[in-house]
Amino acid sequence: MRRLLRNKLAFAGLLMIAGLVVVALLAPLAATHDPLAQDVIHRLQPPSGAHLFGTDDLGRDVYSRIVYGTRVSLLVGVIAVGISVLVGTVLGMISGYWGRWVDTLIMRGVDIMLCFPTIFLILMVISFLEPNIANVMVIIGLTSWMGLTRLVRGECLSIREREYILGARVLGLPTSRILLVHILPNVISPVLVSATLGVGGAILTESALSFLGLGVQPPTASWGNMLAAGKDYIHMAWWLSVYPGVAILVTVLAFNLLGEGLRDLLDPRSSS
Amino acid sequence: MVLLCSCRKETRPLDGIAADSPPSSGDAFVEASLGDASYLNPLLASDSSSGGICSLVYNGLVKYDKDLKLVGELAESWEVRNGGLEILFHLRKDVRWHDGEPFTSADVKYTYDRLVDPQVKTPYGSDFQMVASVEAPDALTVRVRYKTPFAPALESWGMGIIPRHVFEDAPEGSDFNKHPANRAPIGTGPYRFTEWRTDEKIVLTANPDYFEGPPFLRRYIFRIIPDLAVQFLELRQENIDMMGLTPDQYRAYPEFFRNYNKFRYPAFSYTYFAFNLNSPLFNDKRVRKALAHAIRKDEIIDGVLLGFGRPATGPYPPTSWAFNESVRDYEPSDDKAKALLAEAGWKDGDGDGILEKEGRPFEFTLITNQGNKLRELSAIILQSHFSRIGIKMNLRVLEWSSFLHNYVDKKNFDAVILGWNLSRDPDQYGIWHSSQRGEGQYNFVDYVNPRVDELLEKGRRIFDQGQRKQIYREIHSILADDLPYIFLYYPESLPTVHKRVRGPRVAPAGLGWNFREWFVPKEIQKYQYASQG
Amino acid sequence: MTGYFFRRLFLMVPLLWGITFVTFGVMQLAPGKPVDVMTDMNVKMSAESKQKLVRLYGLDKPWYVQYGLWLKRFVRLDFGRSFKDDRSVSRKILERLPATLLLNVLSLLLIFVVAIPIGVASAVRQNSFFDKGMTVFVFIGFSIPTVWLALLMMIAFGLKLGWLPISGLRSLNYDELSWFGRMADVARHLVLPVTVSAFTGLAGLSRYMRNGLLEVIRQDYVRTARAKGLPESTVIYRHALRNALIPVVTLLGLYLPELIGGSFIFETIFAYPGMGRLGFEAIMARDYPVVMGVGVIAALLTLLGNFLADVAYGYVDPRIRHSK
Repeated sequence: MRRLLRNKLAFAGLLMIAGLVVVALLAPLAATHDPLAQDVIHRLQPPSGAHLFGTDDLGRDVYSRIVYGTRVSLLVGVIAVGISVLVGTVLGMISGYWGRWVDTLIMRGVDIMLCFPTIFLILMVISFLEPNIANVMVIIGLTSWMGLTRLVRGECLSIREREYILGARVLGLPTSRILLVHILPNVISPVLVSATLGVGGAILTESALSFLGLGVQPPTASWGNMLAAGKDYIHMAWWLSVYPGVAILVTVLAFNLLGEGLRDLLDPRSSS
Repeated sequence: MVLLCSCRKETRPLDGIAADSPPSSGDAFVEASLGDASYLNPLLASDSSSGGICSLVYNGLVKYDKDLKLVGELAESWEVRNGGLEILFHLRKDVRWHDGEPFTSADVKYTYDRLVDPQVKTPYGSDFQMVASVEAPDALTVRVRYKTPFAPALESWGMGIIPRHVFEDAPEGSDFNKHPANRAPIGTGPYRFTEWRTDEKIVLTANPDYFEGPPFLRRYIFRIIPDLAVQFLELRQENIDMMGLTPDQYRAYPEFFRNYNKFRYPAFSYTYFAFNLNSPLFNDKRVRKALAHAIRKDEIIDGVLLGFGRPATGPYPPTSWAFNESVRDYEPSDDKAKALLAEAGWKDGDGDGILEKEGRPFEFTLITNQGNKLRELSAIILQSHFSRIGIKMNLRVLEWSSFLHNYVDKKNFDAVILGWNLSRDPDQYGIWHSSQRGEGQYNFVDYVNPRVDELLEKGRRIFDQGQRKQIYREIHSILADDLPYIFLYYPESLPTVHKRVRGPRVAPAGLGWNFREWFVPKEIQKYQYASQG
Repeated sequence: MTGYFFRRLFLMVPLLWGITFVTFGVMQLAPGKPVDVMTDMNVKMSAESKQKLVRLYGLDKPWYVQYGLWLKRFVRLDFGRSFKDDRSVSRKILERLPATLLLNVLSLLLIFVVAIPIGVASAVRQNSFFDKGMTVFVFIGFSIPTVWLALLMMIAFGLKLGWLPISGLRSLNYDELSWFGRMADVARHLVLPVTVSAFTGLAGLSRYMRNGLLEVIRQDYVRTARAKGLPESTVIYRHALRNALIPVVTLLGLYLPELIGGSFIFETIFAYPGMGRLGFEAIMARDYPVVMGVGVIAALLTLLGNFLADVAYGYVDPRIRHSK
């Protein structure tokens, strides 16, 4: 932790994320208006005292929608990455520990999936399903586990041959115990780095999907769909796109800076 | 004619050029589209991009004039005989295809043969199913025989006629579908095809030998720009000469439109809220009427359309001759709505603000397709209207294909917001007749009314417009009372055209009806072409 | 070397098959049929005409028959015909591929040209103000929503300053220009998309370069070189940099799918006539043959990129040839 404090950029990222989590948790307190309440008479109002960030095309308060959107966007990021970590770690450990044909099968699967541009896979699937928040999270998660699988498998391969693991196997400890107690803790740090970077990526992916009309659906506010809706008003109501755009930028940046800081910290090779 | 008056236009000469300068040919006209065309063949074109280009390159036998009257185009005149069982078209003799070949009745016969060819991927076959035979007794006469009289038949011959001699090397339907001429069309229309750069632009050049006289604008350029915000940027940069605006854009800063004229006129369409009449919630007419009383259409028109539209009362817009102006709209009144609901047994027993009947709360889900902002916004406003009378409406926005396939076609919905783009003929047999309720057919609300069935059948058989008018006015008033749909609004088209272009005039037919006469005065022509035609 | 080359080439065959299977499988999950889009809510089209279209497209056959037919054509490099306009899918892709490759190769070049110096300079001055500033700069590029950045750039450089065209690849008067004029015209149109695409892709490579160089600097031979009293610049540029650059070659292969994936969104916003936009529109219109074609071509390009990177890596780093 002290080393993390020394890395000012990573620390700034951590602070930002902590702040966002607080906003997300206390959204009802932080918001000044109901994020769904429309007021057609006061639509497209520029930022003012009554509406800090102005109002959108239905007269909804942009600031309050950003506040509530924090919940949605963080949730999308965290759950999507959770799914990808789960799938990636499990497959990676199986592949790295058992080896042989299971390994070949999984790794060829990874190779195949990695050949496709991620956005292509996501688009194909999401355009067939109903684009709602659950589907968006699951699909982003299920199309981003491949890198993690490779990473975890690599770590597993190197740990497997260590003496204490070989010893545990000789003693006849059940495989599940070896995996959980001896191998899992060793792969946690690279997974953590990758997951932190992944959250930012998932938030960006959601915004890209929203641009194509396939992200989290209105009236629920996500930064992605606010930005997408604001895009068409970029000429006459800049506040509709600038605030969500900045929110995405700052949040993704924070996760990346923290992730890079963690990498420096946890990877002994790159620490000085 | 009220509509004509509501069309505003600021005509200010551009850079001191007199407004009445004489027509001169030259310059180019640039339009933008979200999607590229698919087939430049009127039989195969099903998207608006292809349709728009085809209408400049090809002609039909008949067309609608500026007052929405059917007039001859490739046909000089026609006779309807035997009570509508036979139509005789007399063709113009001075028409030549763009490659110089003369246009004859053989081309019309060929076009019909392809329309009913099972191998041809045309979506327009159904209009020609009633045809018994098409004959060409001589080069300038076409005789069409019908199995039963079919009033919209005449309109259907507005279909673009394609050249037999070009397609002759493709006798099979499958060859026809992939014929090279579908990408390099040869027509009879005011513009000749010049170039198609995939996903970039389609270029047409004025046809100097056009039988109604050559158009003034020398080039027509169709640019493909797949994002609306970017299209508007290009418009502000004056790289696009014409574009349909959203209500917000229309109302935006006047300086965006310094060099543009804005127009408004009623579009030939309506937006509606449709009930699933099989749903136990909505099979009671009193409930449907209650919902109609709860809706404030003015609020939707002001809030969503910013005033660019009219409240709808039925399936025909005011510009249609079938429109029944005596149909009164439902008076917005929460009290009336609540009274009707109480009569139908819906009461708020537990005081949670939501009505119940036999212990079940009044809650339903409205679906609409994503990508249509106006429909989404209308739905959100309706949500608040219904909550005032104790009805909870959930909203789901679905991707178009799954929306149609999994929900609408399978009648798997409570209520839906959609719109119909109408053809000029008021025959709406496909939408309202009880025989059209199968999966994938258009009476997806399951509307059954024997009187309406009878009227729809009669309306197709009679050619006299006076008699048909009575029929469709009655349909209008029955539908307004039965309420299978709540008809929400008739929207307006809001195009803008660059000021250097002279000639655009709004008529009942819209704006583009006299495109051939649009011109740019010599002094302010923007695009120069070396050889003037 | 030749043996390695062919072994790698041979390994690509099952991958290729997997790629076709994945694409086809996902398409089959789709609820919609391509004819929905054509026949959407048009009163003029009856249910019977819809059924006719379904039959003409062969969509009434079971999926394995459709897949078998597709595979049979595919081995002859025939991707079938687009549902949208009945044109051969290979032609549709081929006419757009050059534009996509042009955009991607240029942004890849720009990324390498900018990111490597940034990485090197950051490593040399590790933890300096410059290093921190550059870290933030490259990550801003990575974190900004692409579409938004693109629109802001269009407004700034296209509308307000008027320096660059807003969208497209060519001006309307392209055909009337001289050879030089055409080059300049395309170049002007490419500035915005290439810049935006490269800016969003800087972070990966520059961080990789920085960390790679830091690692090499700590290794024995670099320390030895330092100990010998060689000037710092010679140590870094002659000894360390050369070794740090070798693994960068492999990144080429990894960058390709991301860039091609990016072009799905890029090409749409910039009205750029490329393969990504074709793929995106085909997905939305359920144009199966085109989606499969674009998916397979994109995956093939990636395979090819990986393959070239591997071969290049084997060439620069002899250790690879003996292992395996």
